[in-house]
Amino acid sequence: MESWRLIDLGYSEPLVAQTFYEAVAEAVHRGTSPSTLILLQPGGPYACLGYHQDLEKELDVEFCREAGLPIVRRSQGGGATYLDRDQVFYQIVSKGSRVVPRDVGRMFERLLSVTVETYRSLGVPAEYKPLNDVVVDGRKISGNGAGLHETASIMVGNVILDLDYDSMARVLRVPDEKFRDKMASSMREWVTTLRRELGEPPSVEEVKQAYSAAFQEALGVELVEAEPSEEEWRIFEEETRPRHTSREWLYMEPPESQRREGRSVKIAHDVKVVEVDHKARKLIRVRAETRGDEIVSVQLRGDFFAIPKESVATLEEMLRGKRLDEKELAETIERFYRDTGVQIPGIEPPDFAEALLKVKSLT
Amino acid sequence: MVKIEGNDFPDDLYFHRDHMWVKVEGGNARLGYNDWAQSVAGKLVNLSTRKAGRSVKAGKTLGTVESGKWVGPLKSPVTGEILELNEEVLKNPSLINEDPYGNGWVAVIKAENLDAEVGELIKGSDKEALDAWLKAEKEKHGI
Repeated sequence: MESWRLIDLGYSEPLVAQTFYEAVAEAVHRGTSPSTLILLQPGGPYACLGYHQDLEKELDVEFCREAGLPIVRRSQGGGATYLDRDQVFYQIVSKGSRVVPRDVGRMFERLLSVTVETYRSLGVPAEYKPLNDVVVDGRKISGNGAGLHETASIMVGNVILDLDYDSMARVLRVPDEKFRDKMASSMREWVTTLRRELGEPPSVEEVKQAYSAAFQEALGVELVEAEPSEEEWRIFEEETRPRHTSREWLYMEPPESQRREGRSVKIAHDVKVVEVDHKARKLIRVRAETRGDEIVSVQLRGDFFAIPKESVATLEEMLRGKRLDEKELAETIERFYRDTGVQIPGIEPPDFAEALLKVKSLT
Repeated sequence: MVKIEGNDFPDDLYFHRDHMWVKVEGGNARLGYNDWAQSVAGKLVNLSTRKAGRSVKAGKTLGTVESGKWVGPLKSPVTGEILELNEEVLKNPSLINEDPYGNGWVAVIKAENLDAEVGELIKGSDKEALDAWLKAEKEKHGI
């Protein structure tokens, strides 16, 4: 049976909570530390940015500063998020382990079986949803990311005891408050927590015990409790902390793929809230909630006017459940014009289709 | 062209063990991400690289690629100056998934030591070596 190290860091300052595993990964890569499971809780709230994201586009930096919220850019992908003491983080760092497939899909499937089992043992019927989600009745209940550090592989994620939906929506940069409201309500709909599922969440100690037990059971390994090595703390203080607190790191230039027009916030697995502008002779501003390439709901605004003016609401209603597909959109929009006899000066039917297809480029 | 379990490995390319391919173009090397790696990684959403004009060493990081929530390094198989980057791929990295050996190329390197470094790579025409390498990779990755 493989023996793994278990490090329980307890409540840790945000930078340690979010980045200490990188120092462990360096030691594991060097071969001076064994494969390791780290469990911890953030010691206080902070905002966390995905590796490739554009800081100022994603986060309301002024708000974070005023509220005294640290901002940490993680080394893993995905979207900006708000984290606090109501979560337990698990960070799995391994090298050459027979229980951790290096193929990303397989690794998520294997390691997330531990998360699924943890929730189940706490009384929540969680399920694995490929690629990297754990859901309850289709709602996300755990966020997960993975990466490589040289020869060490890393998977990190959380067990969500409770979630402050309003703070989550507050730290993100949004075009306006209505967008924020839409985002918060979408999160309430698509992201759940132990508190919501059970009424009262278990204690963090219970969660960590459940996770350790599931880890040993599902992976067939033995966990041996230990402290981080002196070398790991040294790597953290000399390399990890300085890198993560540098201006270059935090304000890292985002890749071209992030410099798209419009605003898109990922809520859970394939659900997004998106806003795009499309300039025809008049401006069309589309705000949509999407699930994959399906329109869950959509709002159409801009400086155009429709006669009769109620007809825009009809179009919004007709677009619900439609796919972001050129043909399907064109047909729906044509039918809308035909059925309502609407007139919209400065806007032709293909303009709506083009505006909606811009949403697709952001999903 | 060699096809191994549904993934393409064109004869005229050279394959690096860290999953980049190399096409020799005079003294330059055109690089990309191989078909097997892109299919295992899934849809690529972000790609950042060192800038054109910078130099890179063989085996060192040319850039970082993100798929879903997975982030991993792109290692350069050759040493030299980055002459050109594929702007289209930087804007839309999923071009790599669609056409890894064509429109999905990543960079052109003015190689300093091309013959020796290419000698270390696996030839696309060497089916046995490709098979052995991918078999080892699959075992390593638990596929």
